[in-house]
Amino acid sequence: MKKIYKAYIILLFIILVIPSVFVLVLPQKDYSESENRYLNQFPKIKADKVLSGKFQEDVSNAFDDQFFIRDQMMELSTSLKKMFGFKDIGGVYIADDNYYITKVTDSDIEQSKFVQNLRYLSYFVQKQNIDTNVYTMLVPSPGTVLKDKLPAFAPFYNSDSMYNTAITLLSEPCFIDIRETLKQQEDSVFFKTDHHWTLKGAYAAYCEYCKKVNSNIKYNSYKSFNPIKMDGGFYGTLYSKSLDPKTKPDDIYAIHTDKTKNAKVISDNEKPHIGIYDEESLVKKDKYAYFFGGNYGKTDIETGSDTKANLLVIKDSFANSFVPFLLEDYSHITMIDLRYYNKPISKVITETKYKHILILYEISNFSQDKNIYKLTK
Amino acid sequence: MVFSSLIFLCIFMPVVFTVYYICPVKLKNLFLLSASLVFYAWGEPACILVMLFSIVFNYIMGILVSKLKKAKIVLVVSIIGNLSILFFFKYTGFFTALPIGISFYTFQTMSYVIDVYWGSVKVQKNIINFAMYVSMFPQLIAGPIVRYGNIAEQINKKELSDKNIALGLQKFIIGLGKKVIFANQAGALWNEIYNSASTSQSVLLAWLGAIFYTFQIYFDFSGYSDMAIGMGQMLGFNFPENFNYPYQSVSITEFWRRWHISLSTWFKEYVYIPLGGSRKGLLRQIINLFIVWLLTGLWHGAAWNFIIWGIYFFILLLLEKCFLLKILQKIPRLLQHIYSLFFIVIGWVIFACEDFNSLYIYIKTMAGIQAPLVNNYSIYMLYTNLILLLLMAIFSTKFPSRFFLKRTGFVLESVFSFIILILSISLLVSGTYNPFLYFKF
Repeated sequence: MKKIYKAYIILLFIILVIPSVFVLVLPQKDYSESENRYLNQFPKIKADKVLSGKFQEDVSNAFDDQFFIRDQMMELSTSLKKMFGFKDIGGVYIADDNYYITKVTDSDIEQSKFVQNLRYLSYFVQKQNIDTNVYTMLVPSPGTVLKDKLPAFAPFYNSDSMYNTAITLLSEPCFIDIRETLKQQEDSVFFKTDHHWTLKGAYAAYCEYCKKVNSNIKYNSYKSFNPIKMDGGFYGTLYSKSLDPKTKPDDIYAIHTDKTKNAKVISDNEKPHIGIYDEESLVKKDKYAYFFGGNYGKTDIETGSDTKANLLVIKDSFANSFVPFLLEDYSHITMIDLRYYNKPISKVITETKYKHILILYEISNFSQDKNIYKLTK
Repeated sequence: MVFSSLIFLCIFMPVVFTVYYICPVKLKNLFLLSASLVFYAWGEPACILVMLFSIVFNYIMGILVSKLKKAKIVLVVSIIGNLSILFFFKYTGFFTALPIGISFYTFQTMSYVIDVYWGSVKVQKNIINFAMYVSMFPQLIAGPIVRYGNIAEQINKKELSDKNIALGLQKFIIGLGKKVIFANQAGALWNEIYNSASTSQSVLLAWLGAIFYTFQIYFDFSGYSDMAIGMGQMLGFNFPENFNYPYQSVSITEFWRRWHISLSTWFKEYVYIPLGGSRKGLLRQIINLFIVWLLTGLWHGAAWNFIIWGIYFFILLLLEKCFLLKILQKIPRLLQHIYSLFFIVIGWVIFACEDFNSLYIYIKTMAGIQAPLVNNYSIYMLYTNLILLLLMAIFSTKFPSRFFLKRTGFVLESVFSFIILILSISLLVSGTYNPFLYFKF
């Protein structure tokens, strides 16, 4: 019996020590692909940081992030939670048909914040010239469109009243309501493993946009845009929350026309790029960044189209797969992402004459975004 | 540093215990003191000065109390000194950061000087040994409150057998599992429900939230105690048990004999009995009880809800003493359990809601005033967490240890603890909810 005790003690100490040995021996990792974020690094020791406790905190955080077999341990914890019968893990519902859907409940939406953002927007709309039309498109949350796929009785915030408020405050003609069309699509309008919409979803929104904006804009068929499957192994952001090994990856499609290939794109201070797609993103984890290489404060697109009409899109990442459909229709498109853009918007509008301005956000993002006030600058 | 962190489990623990076992007997206490100071300084380097002051102060008081003729004056000075430190840091709000564990170690040092005065323990003349007793990392931050008499002998003579170490390790892992697998999940669910109280409410949801909190606080606290006791055993110290399946109680009186035993014992020995206990007539007894529960409430935090919480239990215990216990004994046992759990759960709601308004709203919802019986949210929370709820209910009773673990022998228990350890690490890695509850104590 004595030997069993000893063996048990030694075995457990070895189990505890193994991760530390690996962390010490292996080089530090900068980035976690599966989690889509930069990892904490071990800090250099400094007396003042030790005294304030900051050094210790940094070491603890780095040790957590650099932990050995981190992804496998994440998978194990997900299995345990699924065994418990949890239907949401890391703030994401495990929904029917292999969908992951972000869990947004009423308590996550601060209504006063939403109304405040609408006021900023409404102020912005009123400030524009008469010959500039401003349109707003608030994309419904995946959980709203795919309500039937949520786990039974799963709470999800009610956006109906929010849409009503938006339509009233912004006045109907400027508001493009795409709730119905997204619900009616037969194909997936949202990715199963990512929080964005698919090309089909973006196309459905494009059709509604065309109907609203008037006859100058042609309303082309989906096929005419030449959609091509770019990759079949897209594991999106929602998958990253649980790392469930049983997840099936998404296909990612993109349209391919002369314009997508030859448009000149200038993103923030980067070198001009010919073509709107970022091929390198396809071999990375976040394949949605294929569209324009991700989010930038300001992106200018010389489309090569001769319509002489310009478009300004103020947006979140949902616009990245939507804007390619509009390349034919405008000679110049500017995209502004308020999260990363800190110069006055009014200057952008005086510098270039825009025929249309489109505000495009997913509604729950829009409602809680802290940067909408920048519209008033 | 907290026990349920990867850096504690994978670096601090293996290194400290290995060195402790290798190091010569004479140096063990010194090493343990150094390790404890590192442990404490890991999170709060500045607060270590408060603890060092408290150590030196009480060390000197101990010696003076044992030497001087006017020991009573010294005793009074030491009590006032200790309470002033506690009061200053905990209740005045001058310092935003409360020195962690101050409520626990102040009670330990205070009882030490009192015990020396009473002659129930010998004075400790070696300051390293004394400092080691106060700062010993297993019980430093969340108890149990180890009285000096509990471990006085082990300071110089520790029984470090493989059996003790192995059993201590098992106890530690069970505690870790309680904390990480149960308390953290239950805590996340309670927070979710509590935060949604203004937008979505029903009677069922409010009760589920309260039950999750009830489980969270038990598994969190008793988990920490188990980890402390287990590590104490691994270091060659016998710490007192702190929890004895409190949710199995059939009365509130029994609950308080089973919940945070080291604290209730402390108040009984150092407040209730010295005040005269039950020996000076009924009125004095009631006043004594009131003082004890007022202080118990205050000890838990510097907020009004803790005082209400203390008085709430004072009233229940008084009623039980006067007549309720006699009635309870006549009703079926199941009803006794229901009665006890009902008041325990309500007690935790008072404990959890730190402002009056949210407490009022929460209790109102539980009572079904202006709230529907069920809503979709509550059904969802119930069925997706049913397995967790059942497991927590089973593991808060004696059943698993009596009918499963104790009969299977060491080998199976080891396998069980091995699985618990891996699962706990996986949950810690996944960075899921790992809040620490005791910063307020």
